[in-house]
Amino acid sequence: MEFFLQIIANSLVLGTQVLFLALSLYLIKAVSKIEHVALGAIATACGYGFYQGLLIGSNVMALLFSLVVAFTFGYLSFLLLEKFYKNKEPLLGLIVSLSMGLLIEAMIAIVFKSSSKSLIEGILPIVDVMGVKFTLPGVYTLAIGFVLALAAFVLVNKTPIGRTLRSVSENSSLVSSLGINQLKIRKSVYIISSVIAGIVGVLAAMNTSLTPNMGFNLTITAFIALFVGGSSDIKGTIVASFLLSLIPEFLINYAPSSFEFTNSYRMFFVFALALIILSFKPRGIFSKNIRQS
Amino acid sequence: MKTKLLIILSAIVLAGCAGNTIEESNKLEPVKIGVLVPLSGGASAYGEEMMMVLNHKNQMLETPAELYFEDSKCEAGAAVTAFQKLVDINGVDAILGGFCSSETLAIEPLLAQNDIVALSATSSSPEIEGKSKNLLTIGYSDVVIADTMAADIMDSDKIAIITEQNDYNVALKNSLEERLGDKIIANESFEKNATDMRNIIEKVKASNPEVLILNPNVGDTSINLLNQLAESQEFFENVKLVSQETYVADDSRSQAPELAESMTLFAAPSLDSQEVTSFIESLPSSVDTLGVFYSATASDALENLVRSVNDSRINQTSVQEELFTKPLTGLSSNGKSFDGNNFLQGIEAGKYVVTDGKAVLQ
Repeated sequence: MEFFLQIIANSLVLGTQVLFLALSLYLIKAVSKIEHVALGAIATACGYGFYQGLLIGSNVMALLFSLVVAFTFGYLSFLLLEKFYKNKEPLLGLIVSLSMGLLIEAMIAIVFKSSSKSLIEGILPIVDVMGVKFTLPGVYTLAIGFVLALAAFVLVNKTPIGRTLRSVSENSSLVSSLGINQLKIRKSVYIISSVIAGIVGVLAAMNTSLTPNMGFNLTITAFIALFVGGSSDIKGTIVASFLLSLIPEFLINYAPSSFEFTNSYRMFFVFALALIILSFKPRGIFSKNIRQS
Repeated sequence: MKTKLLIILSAIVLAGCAGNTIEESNKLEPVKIGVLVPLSGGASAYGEEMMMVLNHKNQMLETPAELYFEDSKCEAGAAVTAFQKLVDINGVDAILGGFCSSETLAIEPLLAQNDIVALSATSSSPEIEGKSKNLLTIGYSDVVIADTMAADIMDSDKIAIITEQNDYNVALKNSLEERLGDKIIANESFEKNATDMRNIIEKVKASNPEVLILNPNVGDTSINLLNQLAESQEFFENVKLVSQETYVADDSRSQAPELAESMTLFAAPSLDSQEVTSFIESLPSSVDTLGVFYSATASDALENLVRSVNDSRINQTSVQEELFTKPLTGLSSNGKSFDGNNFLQGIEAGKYVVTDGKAVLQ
């Protein structure tokens, strides 16, 4: 039982890391219809910003550095991708975003070298909850992730801000006629999404270590979670983020030993799950069948 | 008759002159050695120290070689690209490397095609044995490590292994599986350069082992693994921890010193001759990561490669013939030979126990 709970606990932390990025992707997709996959690299860059801040000064300096990185890349993303929204070329936007992500990772590898860096030296502090152990960064990840998921769900589904966000990409001319500054909204969403990605970059690096390509696997899983959940359904995105993290872990850890599933199978199971779910529910796990005339 | 005699004499003199010219030009032409070392990535600290050792040793040679260093990143793909550059662009006479077994095995098919010899100072995968005669290694085979390690823990019936998935570690794991059989109750592995091994650790804990063999590759992964094991310190302090070369360097254990205390390591033998000590002391900086044994094998690999290339030019033989037929010289390889094998013969494993934070030879 302890083993079962510990696997759930570890997988929940991984799932929450995916959730952070999936929510960032969701927000940008909601206002610009572009899948901004460079968010994983932005998360990594914020982690390195935090690391650099620690080298220079204190935790406050580290926080400041990572925020500056998040704001800079958020604004840069807006400048780069805005014209693809205006020209209604989301696919080109995706390609530019991918290039941006690879460029950021390459820059990090050149500046900081590819060997891993630790944000917390030595053994991580452990929090014991009824025999189930969490690392302290893991607890922060779960707590912030819970608040963020709840806030995003309420904000998008229950408030006028959420309706405005969705309408910016759905009917921009109508939004403009209502006097809403949609440019400002998109700019803000890009920056907020980068900050959310930055938070997971720092927390994930604290929980393990910092490497130039650490954001890649998270982005891939988050990107798939966005579609499995339904790219316009925030509830689906949240649930899919956890499903795509928990199910592979259980298959790896509970399959009969003759299968010899190792950690290397994780992404295989993620893709297999996505394939199965999207085959039956192409509009996301909570979508309803629409009768076509 | 006189004319014929004159022609024959002239021919002999000319041939002699030509021979001298070839010999002299060969002696004048420096040997070009291409070196494959990881200069970036998790194993870069090893590569940088090896580069320092080789540059130092090169200056000690009677005729220094031209050394061409390429970053092989401890990755098969990078090693192949680096090899092609060394052969096609730099036109090297021989290769010193690869460093990691995955690199060495990756370049093996290219050696015969390019008619070039590679001599590794560090690669230890048993898969190297029986490969092309163009590939040699003066490190020890992991079979030696597996034999010694298995003999040491054979009394236990509950053994767990955690392995990183790359050529070197998988080869060692396979050798251990052959020797330990059903005594292995948990056999977990993780992908190369993984950062989160916590679920694997939980699986190992659930099997309740008496002995845990840690089998990651050198570099950051090994540090992460030990740190994450230390998060369950109270469990693993009752388990005998056993490992290989990876944890011999003190830096690799420095973040989890309490857990690593009393860890048993099976690795290269210790070299403590005066000659070795003098060489290590003469180096411009320390070799804390690479260690004494591999510093010595790196030095020996360069010395013997340069000698073999020079001798092959003089004797009109091949470099592999020179390496295979003559006993080697140097610090760790002196008097030893390959005897037709890909691994240098006569090297035994050393057993170390971590005591007060240091790996102490038993």
